Amino acid sequence: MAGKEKMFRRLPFGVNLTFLFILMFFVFLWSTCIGSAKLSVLDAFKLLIAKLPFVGELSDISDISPVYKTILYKVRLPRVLLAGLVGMGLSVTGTAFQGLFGNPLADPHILGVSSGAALGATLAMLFGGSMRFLGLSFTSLAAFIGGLLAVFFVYQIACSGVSMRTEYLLLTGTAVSSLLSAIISFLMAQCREQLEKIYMWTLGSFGAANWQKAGFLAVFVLVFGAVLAAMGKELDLLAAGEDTARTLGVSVKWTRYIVIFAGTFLVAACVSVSGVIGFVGLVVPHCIRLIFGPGHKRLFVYSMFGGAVFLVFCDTIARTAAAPTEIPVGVITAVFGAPYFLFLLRKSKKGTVL
Amino acid sequence: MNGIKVDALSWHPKNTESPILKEINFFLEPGYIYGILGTNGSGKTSLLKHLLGLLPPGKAVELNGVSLGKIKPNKLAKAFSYVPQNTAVSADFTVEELVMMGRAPHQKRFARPQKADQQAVSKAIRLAGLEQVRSKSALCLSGGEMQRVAVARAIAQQAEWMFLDEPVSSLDLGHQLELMEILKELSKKNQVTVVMVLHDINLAIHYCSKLLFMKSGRLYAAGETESTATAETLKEVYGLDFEELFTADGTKYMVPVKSSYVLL
Repeated sequence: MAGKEKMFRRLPFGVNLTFLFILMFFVFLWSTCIGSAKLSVLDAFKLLIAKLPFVGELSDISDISPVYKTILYKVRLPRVLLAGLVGMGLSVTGTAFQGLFGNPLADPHILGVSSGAALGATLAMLFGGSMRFLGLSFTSLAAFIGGLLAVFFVYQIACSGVSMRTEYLLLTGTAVSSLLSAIISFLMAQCREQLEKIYMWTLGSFGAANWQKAGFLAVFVLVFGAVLAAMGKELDLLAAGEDTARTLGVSVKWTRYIVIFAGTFLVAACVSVSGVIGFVGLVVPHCIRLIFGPGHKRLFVYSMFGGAVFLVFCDTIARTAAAPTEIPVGVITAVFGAPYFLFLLRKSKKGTVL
Repeated sequence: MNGIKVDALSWHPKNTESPILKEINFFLEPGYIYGILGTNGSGKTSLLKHLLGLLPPGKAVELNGVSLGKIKPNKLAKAFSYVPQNTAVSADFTVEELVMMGRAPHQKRFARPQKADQQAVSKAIRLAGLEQVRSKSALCLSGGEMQRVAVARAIAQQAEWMFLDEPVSSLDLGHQLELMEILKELSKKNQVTVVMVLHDINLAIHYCSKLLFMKSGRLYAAGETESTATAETLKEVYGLDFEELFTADGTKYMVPVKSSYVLL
């Protein structure tokens, strides 16, 4: 309970925000510099600044080789932005779901969205198709729709029970996820020639990042992130118990609808452009909560930055550590996330992490 | 007419064999302290939750002539505050933050706490005797302290009605009496109407002006404390013989007679 431990909780919102923003900028900068073609930090900085509004004019990029410009603008920047946006989406949804379900094990995938998306993507890869929409491939579209359908079914099944309890929803989500994963395994075993492609997709990667994907996801992160952030008051009150929250004016039914709806769209969008990336949505919210305290209004903003920083960091390691081959980013998130999370957990002594 | 009207309230959830509440009728006038008594499983908590609108209200419960189902949640939250039986909290909030939650019905979605909110919270914390722990995490508190935090939150809510479900169940004797005194003061000074489920007959007799006795889902007896808490009623409700005892200062206590329970 020492003062040092709670330092960040007492700092004003603006200070923490500035700190996180600067941290995010430097991680983005670092990530754009390294790779098979090495850019100098100064050049990368200049190129990044040139793309910013208002200050872009001040940056002189005429002396930088056009090859580097292409690498940075066409390859690295969209990838970094996409990873950052997926990190934001996953950790914001994780924060919202942990608050909604009052359960520290809740993560963005718990209602079955990712298994649904994986099944959608698997079917798309097996049966093929060339439809494109908003710059998304057929596989991405199938994944997006599969994710939405899975959660829709989970919700329908859970609602038809005796009483709509949150544990019931979590268990239904877990059961449906297992069922869908079993179907994927079956399909993979039947179609061996596609096995590697499907397996790699489910592990998640930002290798196929482009500006369209980043733009598509940015819209989702902005819209549904804002919807979730607006539910901060309700999620705070839910921590005091469902009945207490209701007597404080919270409509638990509507809170549930809105959070699940927004979270599902957000995660489905993330998964459809990057595959299933685990651990980010589970652990980033916990780490942020342990460092900055439990109030959701701030938690959402902080975990957006935290998620972006963490996933961009992990993706950079994933594409450089064993170059020229890439390590699946889900492996890196667990390798770096788990020890840090365990360290924070031990430090917090209280044993409860929500 | 102002008050809570309960008209033919019955409740039979799908997954239970027999109804939990059967044909209950009564009217609660504002301005009193009400005690709801009865054995375990007699329907006390279910009744309280119906009064509050926490269970599907239907049309059986009305506040000031409007059925609870027709009142918006936020409006209801300004009329009713609630101290649940289970006061555990799942997040690492401080006592002050938890008490501030009681101001939620009075606050706009993105607004920071106003001066009135701060004052209400400070006053509630003082009344509930939580000043020593106000910036402590809720996860470090004892069960009794958490119960007082829930009471403080309800006080900060500044509703006309306060409902409490066994508010003294995890308090020691001194804190039990202290809480009862706080409720008495709220009722007298702030015109808060208190409705609480209690297990301790003598606390109920000493602090409640009116009592409602539940017996297997029915309202067995209701009325002024003096005329309702008789040995006959208590025997019917609890199945035990009771005797009146008077202390030296003339305070009445209802005590179960030993021969009626040693062989139960």
